[in-house]
Amino acid sequence: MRLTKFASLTAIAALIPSLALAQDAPGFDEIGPYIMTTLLFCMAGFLVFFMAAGFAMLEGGLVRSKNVTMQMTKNIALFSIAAIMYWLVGFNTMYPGDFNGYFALGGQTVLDAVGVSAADAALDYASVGSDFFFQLVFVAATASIVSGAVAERIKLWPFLIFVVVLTGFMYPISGSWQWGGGWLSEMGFSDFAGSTVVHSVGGWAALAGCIVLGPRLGKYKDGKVNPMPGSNLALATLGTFILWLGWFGFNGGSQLAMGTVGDVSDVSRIFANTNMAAAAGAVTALILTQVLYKKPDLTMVLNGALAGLVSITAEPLAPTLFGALWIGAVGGVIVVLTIPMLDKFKIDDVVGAIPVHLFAGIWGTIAVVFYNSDASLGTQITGILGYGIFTFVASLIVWFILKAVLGIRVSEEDEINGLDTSEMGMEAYPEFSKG
Amino acid sequence: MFVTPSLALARGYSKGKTVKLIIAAIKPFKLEEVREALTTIGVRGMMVTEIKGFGSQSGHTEIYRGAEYAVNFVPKVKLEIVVADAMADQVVETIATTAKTDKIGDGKIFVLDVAQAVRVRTGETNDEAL
Repeated sequence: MRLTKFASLTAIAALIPSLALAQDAPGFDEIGPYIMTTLLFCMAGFLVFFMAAGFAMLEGGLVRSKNVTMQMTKNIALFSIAAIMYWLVGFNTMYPGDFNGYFALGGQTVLDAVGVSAADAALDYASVGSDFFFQLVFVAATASIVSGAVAERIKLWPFLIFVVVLTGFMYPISGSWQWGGGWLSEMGFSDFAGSTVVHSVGGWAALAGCIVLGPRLGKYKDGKVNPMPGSNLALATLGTFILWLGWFGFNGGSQLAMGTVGDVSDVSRIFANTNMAAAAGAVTALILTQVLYKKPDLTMVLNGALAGLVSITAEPLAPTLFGALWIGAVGGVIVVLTIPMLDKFKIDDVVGAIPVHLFAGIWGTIAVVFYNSDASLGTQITGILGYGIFTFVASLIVWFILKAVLGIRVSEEDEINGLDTSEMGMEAYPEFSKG
Repeated sequence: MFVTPSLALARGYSKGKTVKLIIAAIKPFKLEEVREALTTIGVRGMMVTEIKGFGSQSGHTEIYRGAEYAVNFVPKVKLEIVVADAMADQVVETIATTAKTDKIGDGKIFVLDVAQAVRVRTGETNDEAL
């Protein structure tokens, strides 16, 4: 997507007659798109940054009160680690320029010079700082997905080491295949804002983590599932709304250009479609849980909205509003049906991250073919499998190594007492008695 | 100075008439209605505890994120009321009619003899302590 936009912007820039006041100073027609796109990346980047808060609140609300401090610590630490790793190697590994299409290890990110002149700036795109920031908040989202799934039993430091590998290497390597102009991009795989590149990757890493880690104590006993209701559904709802807001930046910013009437209109079109898919996912989950369980399940409605968002992320531009509605609605159905399915396999995903980000991500990637005539089902499936196999296998290996070397799970006693006391020595709600 | 019952007697208080303890477990939403009804007939105090338990209703099932689970203990409110013997029947009657919804799980009422009741501040005993 990044490369195509690159090309079209260059073409547009060439078509517009120059209105420059002087020969040596570029006019607004030349620098306008650069300024607008840089602005888009900054704004959209702030919105996606705020999704870190959304993930934190959603996960904090869905874990039990004895694990809230730990969950918050993981989330602020993972974001910060992602920011540093993406500067160190991630960004340039993901966008290596000309490379073999599979892997090229990048070095540190270097920003534009202070007060860069128009002659030295990438006028056909955006400033390095804005592009770097916009891309790094995406990798943080991927790591947040893993954090929720493995909650309530993982040790802090092994988790953070996994985040280092995920954000510095795994995500950037697989990301380069598509957004860096690698082999999947060459093949014609289409993933606008990252149903697969971001969300499924987080989902696969989470799935591998949940399998290696095992379920929480007492979650599955005598063939029955024992629910462990979350500590604060108000926070979980706030987190979902924050994620919903952040998603406008996630999808809208992925237009990667705002310098023309067409581009800025497309960004707004993406906002409308993104919102519609979320609404449809939530309403579908609301109705479906009412029908299946006789009462609506708020936690599933929240997951439904997020599944709608993930579903539209692979192609938020091309569909009509009705298209966004049904694509999001299918996402809502997927989460409601797959959350109990994971329980059948005794895969304990505390917040529903795997159904929301992996299963709805796969659906969204397939759904691209309905509205984008350039996409083919075969290529979409190749992309899904490519990302799935690489991320799942690499994650399994990293989790197993961590398990063998450090151990990734706290002791039985520590888990029962809660990670806040055992891992952190600090409680989220010290003035309430333990429940 | 702490006033013992015997000291209270020495000061000339009578021993008072015997009293009964009424324990009632009722549906939580009926608490306010029952309190009003009991106040109206002259009950001047009660102890209230939020409890969980099961009787013939024997729990029910709920669903969280698609998984059905048993709620074996149902929330109830426990009232403990101590009244003079003469008033016990009326109190039981009032609770029974006020807390009744005709649905399973309305609760239970038990009446027990109380060996002695003492008002801490004065040392008065039995019905005079109420």
